[in-house]
Amino acid sequence: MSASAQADLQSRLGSVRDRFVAILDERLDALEVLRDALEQEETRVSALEDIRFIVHKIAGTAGTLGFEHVGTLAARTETRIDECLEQCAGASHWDSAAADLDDFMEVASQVALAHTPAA
Amino acid sequence: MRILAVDDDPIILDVLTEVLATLGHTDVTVAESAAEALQKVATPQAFDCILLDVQMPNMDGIQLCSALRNMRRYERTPILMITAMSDKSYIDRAFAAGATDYVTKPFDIQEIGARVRVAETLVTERRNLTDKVSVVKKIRDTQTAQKTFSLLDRIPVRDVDGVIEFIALENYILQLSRGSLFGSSVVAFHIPGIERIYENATAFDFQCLITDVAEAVTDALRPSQFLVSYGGNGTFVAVVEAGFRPEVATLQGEIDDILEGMELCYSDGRPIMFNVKVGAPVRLSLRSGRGAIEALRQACSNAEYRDSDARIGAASRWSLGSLMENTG
Repeated sequence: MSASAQADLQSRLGSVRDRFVAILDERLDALEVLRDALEQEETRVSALEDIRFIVHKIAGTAGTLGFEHVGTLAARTETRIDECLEQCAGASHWDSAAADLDDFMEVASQVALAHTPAA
Repeated sequence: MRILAVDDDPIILDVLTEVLATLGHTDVTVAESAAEALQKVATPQAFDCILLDVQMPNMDGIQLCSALRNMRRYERTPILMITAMSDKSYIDRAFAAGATDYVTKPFDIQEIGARVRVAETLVTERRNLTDKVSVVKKIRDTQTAQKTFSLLDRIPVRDVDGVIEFIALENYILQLSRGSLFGSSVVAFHIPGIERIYENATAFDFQCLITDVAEAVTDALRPSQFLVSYGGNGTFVAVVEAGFRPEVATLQGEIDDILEGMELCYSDGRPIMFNVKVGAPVRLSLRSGRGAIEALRQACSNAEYRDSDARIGAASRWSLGSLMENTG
C-alpha cells in the first residue's frame, strides 16, 4: 500500500476510531454491571460468558485501530475466562479472570477518557 | 468486484468498508448476521467475494460458509474467514466447510489487502475461463461431451467430505505455518498412467474417476484429521494432523482395495485399472511460509516420480506462489 493510500486510510479510520471509543464506553458500562455479577456465585457463569462475548469483540478490533494494549488485555481476559469456564469456574480461577478484567477495564477506561472530545 | 462482509461487530464492518474503499473496492455490502447475509445472497446479482466472521450468535460463520457452498452460484466464490479464533480446530473447521482463506483479527491491513487482491485475481481468472468455455461450447458438438479442461487443471471435486479447493489447501498450509502449528504432514496420491486415462475418457468419465479416487483417499485416511485437494495431473495432496505416521504400503493397499470395490470403468464399460501411488509423507515441522508450499511440491514429487506419464511439468498447479508474487 502506498504512503498516500496509507494516509488516506488512516484518515478514513479516524471516524471509525471515534465510534470504537464511543462503543467502548458503552461496553465498559455493561462490564461494570457484569463485574458485580461475578461476585455472586449464582450469576458467575453467565456473567463470565457475557464478559467473554464483550472482550472478544474488543480484542478483535482494538489492535487494528491503534489501541494495541487494550486489545492485548482484552484477549488475555478472554483466554482466562475460557480457562475458567472450561474448568468449571473454581474459586481460584474466577479470581484470576476478575483480576484480568480489572486490569483491562482500567486501561480501557483511560483510553476512552483520553479520546472523548472535551465538552 | 462485489463484496459481502458479514460480522456482528459494526466496528469491524466499518473498518473493512474503509480498508476495501482504500483498495478501490467500493461495491461492498455488509450484513450483521448470518441470517441477514442469507437474505442478501438471495438477490439476483451474485457477490464475487465474501468475508465472514466465525463467531456470530445463532448461525456462526463456519455454518454460513457451508450453507453458501451448498448454493450453486457460490460453490467457488472466494470466501475469506476474518476472525479472532486462531485455534487450529477453528481453522480446520473453516477450511473443511469450504473457506478459501483465513485471516485472524486484529488483522494487519496490508495482509487483508493482499488477501483480497488474491481473491480478485481468482475471480478474474474464473471469469476469463468461463468466457473461454462458453466459446468452446458454441463451436463443439455438445452431444460428444468434449472435455473443456486440460489434464493439469484442478477440476473441482464436489460432495466429498474433507476435499477442498487447491488454493484453499495452500492457504490452509500457510495458516498452519504462521501459527506455528507444527507436526502436520503432507502426503500425495497419484494415479499412474493418468495421461492415457485422460485421453481415453470423456469429460464425465474423468470427472467421475477423480471424484471416486478422492472418496477412496479420504476413506483410507480416516479417522485421522485431514484436508485433501485435487492438484491436477491425477495427483491428490492431503494435509494430515500431527501424529499421522502411515505406512505408505498399508495406505496404498487400503486405497487399492476401496477402488477395486468401486469397479471403476469408462462409460463404454471398459475397466479403468491402476494402483494409486502414495508418496512418502513430508512433515511440515520447522517449515514456514513458502517452505510449507515447498513441502506440497515435494510431496507431489514423491508420489509422481516413478510414473513415466507424470513427466509433465506441474509448475502451473502452484497457484499461490505466482498469485502472491503478482499481488505483492
